[in-house]
Amino acid sequence: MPESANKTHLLSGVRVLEIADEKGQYCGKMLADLGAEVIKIERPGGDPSRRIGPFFKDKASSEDSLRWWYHNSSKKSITLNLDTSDGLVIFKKLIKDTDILLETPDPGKIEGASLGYGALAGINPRLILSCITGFGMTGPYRNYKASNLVGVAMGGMMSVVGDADRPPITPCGEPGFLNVSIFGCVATLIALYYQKATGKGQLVDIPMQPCVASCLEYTFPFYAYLGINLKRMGSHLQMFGPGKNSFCYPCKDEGYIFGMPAAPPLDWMEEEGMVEDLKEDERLWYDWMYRIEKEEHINDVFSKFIRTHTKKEMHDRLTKERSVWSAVRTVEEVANDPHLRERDFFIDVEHPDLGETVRYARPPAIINGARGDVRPCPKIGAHNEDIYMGRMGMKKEELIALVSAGVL
Amino acid sequence: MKTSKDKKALEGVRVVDFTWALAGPLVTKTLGDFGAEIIKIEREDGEIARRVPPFPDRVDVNRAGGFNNRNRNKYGMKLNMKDPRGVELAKKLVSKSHLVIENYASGVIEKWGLGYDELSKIKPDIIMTSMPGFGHSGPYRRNIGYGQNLHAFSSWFDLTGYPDRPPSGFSFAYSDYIVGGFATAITLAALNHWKETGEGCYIEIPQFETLVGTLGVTYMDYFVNHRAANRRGNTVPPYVRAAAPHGSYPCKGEDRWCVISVFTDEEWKAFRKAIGSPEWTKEDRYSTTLSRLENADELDKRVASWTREYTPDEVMTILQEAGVAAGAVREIRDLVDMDPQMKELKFYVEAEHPELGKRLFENNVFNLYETPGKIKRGAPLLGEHTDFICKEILGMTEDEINQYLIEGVL
Repeated sequence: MPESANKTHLLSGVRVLEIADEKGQYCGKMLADLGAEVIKIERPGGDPSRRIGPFFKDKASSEDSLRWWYHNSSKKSITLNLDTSDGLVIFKKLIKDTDILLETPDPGKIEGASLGYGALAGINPRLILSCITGFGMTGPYRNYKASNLVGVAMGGMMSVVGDADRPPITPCGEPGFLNVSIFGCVATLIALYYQKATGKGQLVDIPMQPCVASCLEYTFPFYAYLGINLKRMGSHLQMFGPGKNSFCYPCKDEGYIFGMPAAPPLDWMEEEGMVEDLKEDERLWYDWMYRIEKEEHINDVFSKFIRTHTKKEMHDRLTKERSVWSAVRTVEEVANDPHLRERDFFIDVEHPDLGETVRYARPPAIINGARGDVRPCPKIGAHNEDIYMGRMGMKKEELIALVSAGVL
Repeated sequence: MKTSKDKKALEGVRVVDFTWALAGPLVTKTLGDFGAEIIKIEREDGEIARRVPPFPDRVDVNRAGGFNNRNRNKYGMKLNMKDPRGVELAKKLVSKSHLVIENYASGVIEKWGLGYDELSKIKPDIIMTSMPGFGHSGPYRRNIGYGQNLHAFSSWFDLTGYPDRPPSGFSFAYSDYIVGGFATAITLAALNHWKETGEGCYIEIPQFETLVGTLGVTYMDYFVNHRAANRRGNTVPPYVRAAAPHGSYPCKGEDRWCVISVFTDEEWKAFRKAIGSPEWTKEDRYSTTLSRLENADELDKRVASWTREYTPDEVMTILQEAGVAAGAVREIRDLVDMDPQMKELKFYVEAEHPELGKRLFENNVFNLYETPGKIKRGAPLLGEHTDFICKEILGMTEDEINQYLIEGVL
């Protein structure tokens, strides 16, 4: 491993066991990216979420999911059947020198997440048990099933995303799973600090519903302070109160510009004789109540101006002028972005089994000037020998016996 | 004796907080809730979020609702960074602290002489976290990074909407929450590293890259399979997984909606039974996963004809009891006033603000059983604790403080 990548390993020496489906895998990835040893426990044959795509060259198999690869890079994999008595004995041994057990218990098994916190703490009082769930470990919905969509809906996010005349929608990128994973990592690391200070572990309950609900900016304060129940209104910004005009404007060609009614490029508009009264009416840009009154007019002027330019023209000049307006960029544009290239953000990772490299987004944090690395995710049970024989002293014959008995 | 509920996980950790607007204050919000001491440094007229609505009655830097929500528990100190004596005081504060958090554009804090290189000379084990919009290098490093333009710039905006319309995008600064959460996690990792080794470090969280990173799978799919994703409402693409019915459906009431996620054949059977096995569910075109995917549009209409007869909560209860993932599209008033799970989790709690009085706050989203988070008080008034910090932490005399006040340093 290059010395520079090591600098990003702030959690080296921390041991994590992960029994997590798609809800919590990004949490484990954040810990692994920071250098913690994250050992994934998969059921024999592999975790079912290995079957979620997209797949490498569309080869649909448990070893070829890009989704799995990305969320489980830099981790280790062992297999273990926790529904067998041998499996439980092994699990208890593993718990002894583990700092963090990250779990996404199934609904209906929440109280007894793996063995229950009490039993696990009896084996290892330093253990932090972090449980990522849809709705938490107590309360009337604790046994409800939560897909990403259900989490995003129940957390209130869908009610403020989409167009007013269409059904509510979820934002891109599985925001329910993403939020609960990020907050799961935050919660776990607070508990880890307390563990380092006192030697004590604890149970940490991380439900998706409030994680989503906490990300809605002005939705909550507008209701709490003014009784206004904000709903979906395209990209009309909440800080301007309820409104109908989306701030997304079509260009001369097929692209779009996000033009928020704050700090618009008035000089440029004036140069082209399209500013109308927006420059002389200075009150528009410091009195937000007044601006709301004039919104239709502002919208109209912006719209006409943007229609006279292509997206590229707009992007180039807005970027040069450091404007808060922005081109609405596509996946293709971001994938080929010169800024990301110069900053070495995407990295080609060698997958020895494929004999090819695969391009990944790197861990975003830069620590002491160093960018983090990506180690390809392990195949199912790739570390069985390392952990069971190397670390726990199991004999080869025992390992074989346990594999054939369906324990590993 | 302290009971377990008084224990604070981050007790004894002091944070100098140069954050403003949204992403940065969210980091110190969480640290403060779990017991760190947060000293928020503001300029003469206060940070920008003090001027953003909602205000309960009049526009006033001490009465902004959003600001109050995310700056609770913090101490507030005014400091004029344009005066070299202000910078000296800031340095002195850093020398007595563990963490420095800031989210100005790249280069701002360095211009004040408070970059990591300077601060680590004063306090070699300081941990400093910066959140520049586009990072400290590259052609866009000077660009302004607000959540809103970052959505557009990072493809989040383009990917959020209906396939037959321009992108819907976002009405709220969602990206700040992702960046803020992410920066909190990395800062805590550094704090753990410090506890273990005594070493500080400098953390750069480039906001733009953090957002692109959350779409890591979308970008791998582009690089490997040359497939550029597009917005598609609530639909899961068939190259990802089989999901039908999957989406939001209209319910009884005005503009009320529910969501349903059916992935497997087993879940489909449970769904069919739960809605009373109407005739249409027996049609061949809905009998297998593949046929449901193929006829998803028709299927959605059929499902909607059932959901329309019920409230969102009725749909959720009927389907969840049958083992099908379903939920209500909660509006904010539902969450605050009615949702029994949010009540159980105590997600909305009251605390006192010196001017606004008793107000509702969004609580922590997770529960640490041994060391729970706590909201002791609302956000500081502008400069509320300047005097306290100067005396108690910086050890200044009454005369010194008065002189600095008169001369506009504080």
